[in-house]
Amino acid sequence: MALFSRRFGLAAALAVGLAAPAFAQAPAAAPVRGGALTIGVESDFEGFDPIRAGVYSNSTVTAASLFYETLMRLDDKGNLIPALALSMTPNEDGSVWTAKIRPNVKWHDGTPFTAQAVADHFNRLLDPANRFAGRAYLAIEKVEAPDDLTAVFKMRGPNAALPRTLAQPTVTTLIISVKAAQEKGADYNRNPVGTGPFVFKEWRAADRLVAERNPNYWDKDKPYLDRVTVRPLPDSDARYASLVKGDVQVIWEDRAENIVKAKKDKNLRVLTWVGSGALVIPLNTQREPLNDKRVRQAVSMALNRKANAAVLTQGLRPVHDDPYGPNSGIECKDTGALKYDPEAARKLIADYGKPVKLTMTVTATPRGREGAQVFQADMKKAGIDVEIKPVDQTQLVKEALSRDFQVTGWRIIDLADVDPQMFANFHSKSPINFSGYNNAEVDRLLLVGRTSLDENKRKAAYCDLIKILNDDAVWLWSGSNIDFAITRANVHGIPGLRGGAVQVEGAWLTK
Amino acid sequence: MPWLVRQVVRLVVVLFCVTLLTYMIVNILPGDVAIVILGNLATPQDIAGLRADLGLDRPMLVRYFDWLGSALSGDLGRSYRNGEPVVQAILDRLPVSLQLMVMAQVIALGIAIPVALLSVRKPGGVFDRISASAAFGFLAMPNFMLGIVLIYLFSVTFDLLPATGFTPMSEGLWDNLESMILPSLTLGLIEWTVLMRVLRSDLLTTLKEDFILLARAKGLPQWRVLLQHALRPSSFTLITILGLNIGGLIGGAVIVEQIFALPGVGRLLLGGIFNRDLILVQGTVAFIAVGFVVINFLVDMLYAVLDPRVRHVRFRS
Repeated sequence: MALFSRRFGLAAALAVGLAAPAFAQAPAAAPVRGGALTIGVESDFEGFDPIRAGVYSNSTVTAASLFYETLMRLDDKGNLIPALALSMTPNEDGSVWTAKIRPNVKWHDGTPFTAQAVADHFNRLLDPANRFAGRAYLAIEKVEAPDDLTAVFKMRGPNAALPRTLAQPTVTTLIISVKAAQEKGADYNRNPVGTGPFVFKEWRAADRLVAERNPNYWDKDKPYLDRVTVRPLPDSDARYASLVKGDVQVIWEDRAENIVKAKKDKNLRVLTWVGSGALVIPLNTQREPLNDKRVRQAVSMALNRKANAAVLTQGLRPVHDDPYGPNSGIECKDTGALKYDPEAARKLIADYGKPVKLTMTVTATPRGREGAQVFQADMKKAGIDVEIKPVDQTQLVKEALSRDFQVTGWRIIDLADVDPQMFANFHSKSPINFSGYNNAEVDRLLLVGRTSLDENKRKAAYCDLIKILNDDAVWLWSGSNIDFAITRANVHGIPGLRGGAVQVEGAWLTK
Repeated sequence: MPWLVRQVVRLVVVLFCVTLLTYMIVNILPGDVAIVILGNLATPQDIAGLRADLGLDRPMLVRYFDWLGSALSGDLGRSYRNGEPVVQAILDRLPVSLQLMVMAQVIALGIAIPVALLSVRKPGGVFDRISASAAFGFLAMPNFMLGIVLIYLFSVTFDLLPATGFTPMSEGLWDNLESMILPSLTLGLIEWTVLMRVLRSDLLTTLKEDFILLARAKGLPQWRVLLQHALRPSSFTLITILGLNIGGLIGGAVIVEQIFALPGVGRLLLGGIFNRDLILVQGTVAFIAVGFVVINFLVDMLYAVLDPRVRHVRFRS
């Protein structure tokens, strides 16, 4: 998704620079069984067959993770914990991963869940005939099932990131019953079958989706709730009013005013999640004048990222010097970030010797324009002229992919492992490397990050990488991915909002 | 040509123009349903493949006449986005929108008629002036703002009605009405203003007629003069406006359904536009256009019911 989309408008009074884990909920006593919970989300659901739906919005992931599950999970500290798989182990070089499948798990239609179902799910997504776009991010060649409880992931090359990648609930990793999908055909999209804590009951389009407690769930104590309803409430003020009134108990929210208001309301609680990835400003390193490092550095130094984020998001969005995020486990002592220094930027431009004019392509939305205007104002201080070119979102994507831009807005989405996005964005051979960036050392470090099975080596590689990227001023990091949910004070046990999704498998209510 | 046949011919021509225009406008919109489905980073080959599967690679006019052919036999196609038959999607959501518009209209008339009648009792008097100011106040208020104000007042502050959502009638009549009161009020409170002003001005003209003078001379009380003698002949413009206002009401319903999260036709249309789901937008707009034209056709018939002279002239010509 491109930068300066609707999520750019979120805001609120969160202190800049949150410590990890950014997500914290007041600890409560032992969970209580029973009760019904209603969640208000922003949009209606695309459907629950990944092939038909293509992409899942965070509203859809919120609903889908009621009845679908991933192989592994992540706790709020980023540690892997078993889910449908008990373990995942690599071969020597990480080119093959073997997943031990949890025994005695049943689909909601009563049939047993086996390794073959895992293989069927992923192979279906990988089949080019199904045109599943997310397959570009999957480094999997194919999945085999030698026996009922063993799934073998054959990778396209050594890959260290697989277990973490499979742990984040997305359109790719939430495992569906391919058998049920084949039997139901086009109807499956509206009648999903999973293994998850809740069984799908009903989806009234644009109104509500209802799921009920799965009495045969493999995790015997869970879920605690009897029933969960997810309601698309597109208007954020009406959504907030529904929460205050108590019609719903949890809402996903991105409007600064509402978040600030909720923090002052003792009946409400604000859950905050700073994910990996970031809002970014890619610079095209193949176009004049940005092919000159001095000009890119000048742009980087002229941009007052922190002040801009404070203005645009009422101080809610933290700004970091890398796109890794506080929950990625990667903490770099030195990111090599260029400091805000318009005077130095001016000198670099003078050194360059020619007048610098740039065109910034942004989405034709109020937020796209706001982002471009603060960029324009900052550049002016360094003597750089910026013309703003507002276009439709799809046009922006087209121009970015064909490298037909100078400066634009983009977003690196929140994923559990930084490898897929970093590799796609900066490897010289990647088709999604918009900036046309070509650096042999960066390619090497990206490969270490992708292939090394030594976590420390990977982290070190990503820290070395960020120093080079910051010094070369390829992409500018204008703010972290941040998501908010607001709950009534009696709702407990909602984990970090990975990818903006509200997960309620372990949620419970007090009176 | 008999009147009825002429009306039907007119209906067909209007629908042809409306659907063709919609088709062209939606085609001009930037964006592509194939990209919406496959995501930003889909390969050009995949996008081309999906476009071919959906039939989007054919020329626009070919697609339009194809669609028109099926539409005439009652098949509006299937949503590109989720494969749901468009007719089914519309029929599923129609009761919500119809209820919303009928209730809004009832509220609007329920306010407009008494207020207009009370105003003309003493034109320029205190009540007349207060009602005129109130009408302009409501008219100036955008419905999205009025909706939020009503939610904060009746749901959050007084805890009387649900803030959002829809309860079908099958789950209880009161629950259903409860969920529709605030949305209908949002539309109705803006709608009544125009109706009231129009009716008031027609009433004032009627009250100057000789037969009113006669009625008064007979010693009839004021309320009987107004209700039994003045109201009916003063309702023509009101009814015309009612028919024409359906367009505005549908536009308002799109916004109100979005605010109150009602699963109606307006929200279906909006979702279709956001997703570039051309065939869904096309089907929904065609459906709304038919509805609009048919309602105005019915309004024309109403004139005949209200005024025998119209019946006489129109049906004979």
